[in-house]
Order: sequence, then C-alpha cells, then structure tokens
Amino acid sequence: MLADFLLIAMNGLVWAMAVFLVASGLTLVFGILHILNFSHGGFVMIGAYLAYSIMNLGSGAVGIVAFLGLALVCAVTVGAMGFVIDRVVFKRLKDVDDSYSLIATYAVLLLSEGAVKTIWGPNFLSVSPPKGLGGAVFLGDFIMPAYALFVIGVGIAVFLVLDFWLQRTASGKIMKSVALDPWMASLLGININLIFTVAVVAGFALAGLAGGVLAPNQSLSPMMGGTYIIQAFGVIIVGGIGNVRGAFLAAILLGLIDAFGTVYVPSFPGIFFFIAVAVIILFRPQGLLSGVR
Amino acid sequence: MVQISRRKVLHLLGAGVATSALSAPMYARAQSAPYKMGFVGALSGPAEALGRPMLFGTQLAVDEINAAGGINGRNIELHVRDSKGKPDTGTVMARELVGEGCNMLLGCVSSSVALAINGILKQENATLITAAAHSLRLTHEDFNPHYFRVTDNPYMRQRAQAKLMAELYPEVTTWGGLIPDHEYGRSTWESYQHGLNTFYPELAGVQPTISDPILTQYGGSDYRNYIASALRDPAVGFFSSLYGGDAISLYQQAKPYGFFQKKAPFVDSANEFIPARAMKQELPEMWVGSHWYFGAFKGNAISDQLYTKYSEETGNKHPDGFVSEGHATVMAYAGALAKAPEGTTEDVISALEGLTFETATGSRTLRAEDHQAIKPVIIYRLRGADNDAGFEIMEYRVIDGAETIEDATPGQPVNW
Repeated sequence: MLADFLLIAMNGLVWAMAVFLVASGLTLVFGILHILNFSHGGFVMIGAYLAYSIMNLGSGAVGIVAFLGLALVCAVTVGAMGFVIDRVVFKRLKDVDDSYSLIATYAVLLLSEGAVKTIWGPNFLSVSPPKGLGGAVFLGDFIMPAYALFVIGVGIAVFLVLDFWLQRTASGKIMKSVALDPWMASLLGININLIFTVAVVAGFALAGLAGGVLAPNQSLSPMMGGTYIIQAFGVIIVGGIGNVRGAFLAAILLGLIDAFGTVYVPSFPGIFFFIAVAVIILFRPQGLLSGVR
Repeated sequence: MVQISRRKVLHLLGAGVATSALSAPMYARAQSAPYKMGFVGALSGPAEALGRPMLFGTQLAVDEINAAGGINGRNIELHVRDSKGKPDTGTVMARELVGEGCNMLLGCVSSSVALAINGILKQENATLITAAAHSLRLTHEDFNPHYFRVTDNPYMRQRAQAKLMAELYPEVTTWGGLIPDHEYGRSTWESYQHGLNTFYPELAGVQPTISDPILTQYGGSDYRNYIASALRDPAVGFFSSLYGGDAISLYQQAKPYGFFQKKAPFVDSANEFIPARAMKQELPEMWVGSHWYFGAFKGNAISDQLYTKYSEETGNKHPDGFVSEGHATVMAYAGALAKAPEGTTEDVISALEGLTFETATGSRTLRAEDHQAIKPVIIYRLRGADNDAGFEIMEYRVIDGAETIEDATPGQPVNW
C-alpha cells in the first residue's frame, strides 16, 4: 500500500520535472520578452533528435557523465539556434501586436517540424537511457526506474541554478529589472537588447537541454514538439506566466494531481491535469506566484 | 405541312456528320480514359509513418497494372490527398477527390477518418476500400454498401491472438489490458476479451479471470501512471492496443519496472515492426499482430515482389503490413473493374461483392453481405537481438481468416 502510494507520487514527480524542464525556458522567454513562444516544443524536439544522432555516432548507450555532457551539447547547439531565431524573428516582434508573435512563432514551429522530418525522416525513433540508468532502484516493494530518478534530479538542479541566477546574481537581477520595466532599465544604462538576446538564448538552451535529457523518456517523432507543450503551457499559466518558481511549484502540484487522479479514477485518463488547471485558474487567474519573480 | 428545302436537308446532314465526327473520338476517349482512384491517407501528422508505406504499396500496384497494359486497356490514374489522420480533413479531401472524378477511394489509416468518410459515400456516389481502419462499426452498426475493407478486423485478429495464447500459455489464466481510450482501443479489447472467454475454456479447460482494462491517454508523453496501475493489477498476461509512438513510449517506460518479466506473455495488437525498428535491442519480447509478414509468404509472387521493391527503394528490410494493404486495395478495384469495365459506382459495388482477388497474403474474398475481407491473420513473436536489424522474429503464425471471422450482420452490432 505504502509502496503503491510512493510509486504514484514519484511518477507524479517525474512528470512534473520533465514538464518543468520544458516549461522553464518557455516561462523565461515570456517573462523577459512577453512573447509566448509556440515554437519552444519544436526546439525541445530538436534537442532530443540531436541527442539521438550524437549517441548513434558512437556505439549507442553512453555513461551518465557522457550523457550529461551530450545534453549540454544539445543545450549549446539549440541555444545558438535561439540566437539566430532572435535576430531573424524575435527582434521584429517587439513592437507589434501579440497576434503577430503567435503566428510567427507558430511558423517557426512548423519549420522546426519540417527540418526534423527532412533530416531524420518521419519514422519513430528511440534513445536508450544512459548506462547505469537502465535499471531500477528497489526499496522493499517500492520500485523506481533509475532514469526517472535522474530526470527528477536534473529538474531540481535546473530549478536551483535558474533560481540562484535570477535571485542571487547581478546579471539575474538585471534580467528581472528589464522584465519589470525595460524603459527605466534602458535609462539606467542597461543594454536591454543584449538582455533580450541573453534571455532568448537561455530559453532556447533550456529547450535543448530538456530535449537532450528527456530523449530516452519517450519515442521521438516529428510531432514530438506538441507532446509536452500543452502541459508546459498549463504549468506556466498555473505558476504565473514568467515566474520560474511558480512554474516549478505548479509542475509538482499538477503532476501529483494527474498521477493520483489517473491511478485512482482510471475511467478518465489524462483528464485530471486539465481539471486542475481549470479549477486553479478559476480561483487564482493570475497564477500561484504571480508577481514574485 | 412542313416544307423542308434541299438546302435545309443538307444543313441537317452536315450537322449530323459533324456531330458524329466530334462524338466518335469522345466515345473512344471515354473508353481509353484512365480509371481515376483517390488515395486519402495520413501523409503527415502522428500517423504519417503508417500512411507513407500504405501509399507506397498503393502506388506500386498502380504502376504494375499500368505497366502491364492497364485494366480493359485503360490505365489507372492515382490522385493522392493527405488526411493528416484527422476525420474533418479526411472528409474534405475525399470530397475533393470525388470532385476530380475519383469515384473509387482507397487508403485510410485510422478508424475515425474511415467512419467520417463512410458517412458521405452515398451522397458523393463513391466507394471506399480501407487498408487499415479496424473499427467493427464500419461493417456492422455503421454498415454502408459503398464501403469495403480488405484487411482483417479486431474480431478476427484479437480473437486469433487470444486463441493462440490459450494454445501456447494455458497456465496463464489471468489477463489484463492497456488500451487507448477511443473507438479502436475499445473494439480491440472487446474482441480480445471475447476470445479469451471463448478459447481458454475450450483449449485450456479453464475460465480465465479478466481484469478491467486500463484506459490510457492518446498521444501522451508519460505512461508511468498507467504502468503503475498495470503493476497493481493481479493479471499476469497483458494485452495492449496502444500504437505507434504511444506504444514505444509505454514500452520504454515500462521496461525498467521489470514489467515484461512480471506481465508475460505480452500481446501487442497491431504495431507490426514499428516499435522493433525504433527500440531495436531494447525491444521486450512480445507477440505482435500484423497485416503481412513477408517471411510467411515466400513464394507468393506478389509478396516477393512487394518485399524486393520496398526494401530496395527504402532500405527497410522489415516492411510493415501497411504496404501490402495499400497494394491490396488497388488489386480489389482492379478485380472489380475487370468485371465492371464502365467503372460506375453501382457496377463497382456489385463487382466487389463476393470478389476474390490475389494479394501478398494469398487470395482474399470480400464477403458479399458485409463487405469484410476474409484474409489470414498474421501474428509473430519479436524480441530485441544483437544482429544488424537489432531484433529478431522468433516465430510466426498464419491463421486462416475463415476460422476467426464473425457472422456477417451488416447494420447490426457484432453477434458475440
């Protein structure tokens, strides 16, 4: 009984950290630029496909350290793509209506799907977990896949790094000041264009990192971009759009609700996430931690 | 009295000659004009990996027939539309194809698209032969004389799978299921459950204990909660009808829990080689349902040629059954057109009813009453392996469709 309860709770946490990894970059870009980036899922997908290709350059499965290095390579590569997207697309969206941003970022999503289909083909692919993470951890009757624990660990680590950066470092505080009032920040001599670019590159790098880390979590296909994005949007809305701490808390809350709901009310698979989002927004439309950055 | 002058008679004669001169080539052209067929299938979206091989088989059959001189001296002209795997898009595309003169439609990966197009066939005066859509409703509750299916259906396949399990694993008497929460998932489970209840008492001498199926989300990224539910289920044998990327994600996530050791045998309804090609050595052992397995039909000229051409052009040495089913839809129409050269919808329907035609799995017959094909059910046992493909086919079974097909009850539910 206790083992069942723990298993469900841990499954909820794995879901939460996987979605938080995707949502963190999305909420960072929105927090600073106020652009809801529909293409974010597409770059998570590109990160996952890059991980697949890098792993297949060698003999397939790699060790944990090499896997983390590989995920960082995905982050850097997708971050570089973010730099290009910023120059070509995002720079032109600053002074236009939100609807143009939605259309433009959706177009980028379609481009990313087309690029993946062209390079890797339409067939399903899969990535093995790193060596040492293919098995499970046993504690009595409780079983937890080692890779799932790894995803939880990486999710928490990414949150701590982001939170430390935004709350404790000078560059993070500058970033927050630009998010709150870019005009005043520019009057104080802050190069806000540089800050915008840093935010976009960081957001895309987080998408690449999420893709690399989560590549062994599910099948890869050119439609993968949409797999996490609905949950990620739910998490950033419930957490308070632009708020990394809020996204982290919302991911955990929604993950646990979805996990227990799915197991104990099995007739309605997948519905508890949406019910929870709707109910929370009904009572707290600004999100859980709106205003706290 | 009507006066007809010599000049007027000459004018009329001239007009008649001119009309004859113009209409003769038109008549000749109608006799030699190509037969138009419209492929509507998923060529983008989540089911693209299933729709593309289907189109390959369809196009190959059209090319072969045209290269051999066509049917009744007339070529086949194939028009192609992408349904994106969506019912609304599929319906629009089907209407477009009919507008282009294609009264013979074929293809369809998913039941939802086939059910949607099925609803407009009478109105559009067209026929549809599907190459994968498995919903039992198509040949039962929603039966429509304009619709035909060249593949097997869940009653045939899942009951055949259940029968095989009763034969091979008589000691496994508790069964559970993981099924997607939609029409196809429910159809497959209903049929599998019925098969277990029929064949275990008959072959193993015991009544099986069957748990309620675990309903899963379509298109999800995380199946661990469903896996947790399955692990809590006391059932030993497990059946799954998740397909494509969902099935691969489920298998990847279930493996570390030791799921496939605890829940064995494991039966996959219809994923062909799709998870095997993706997971390779990581593929757990399972029995998988298929439309066609080339290794089981060596010596069948259509099967051999299909395999050779597909593997040469794509480099894929393990083609999925969707290739053969696309091919079979054209072969069915070709057989009908040989008997009904005008190609009108009414004539084609009459000719298809009871038609026997050759395919990569041997002869198939379209049952006249409900338009369901009688064809073999193919089941193979797969597992990951250290070879070039990354997996191996441990054994296979070809089960005569006539043994497992349901009673024809068009317009009525299945007579369980």
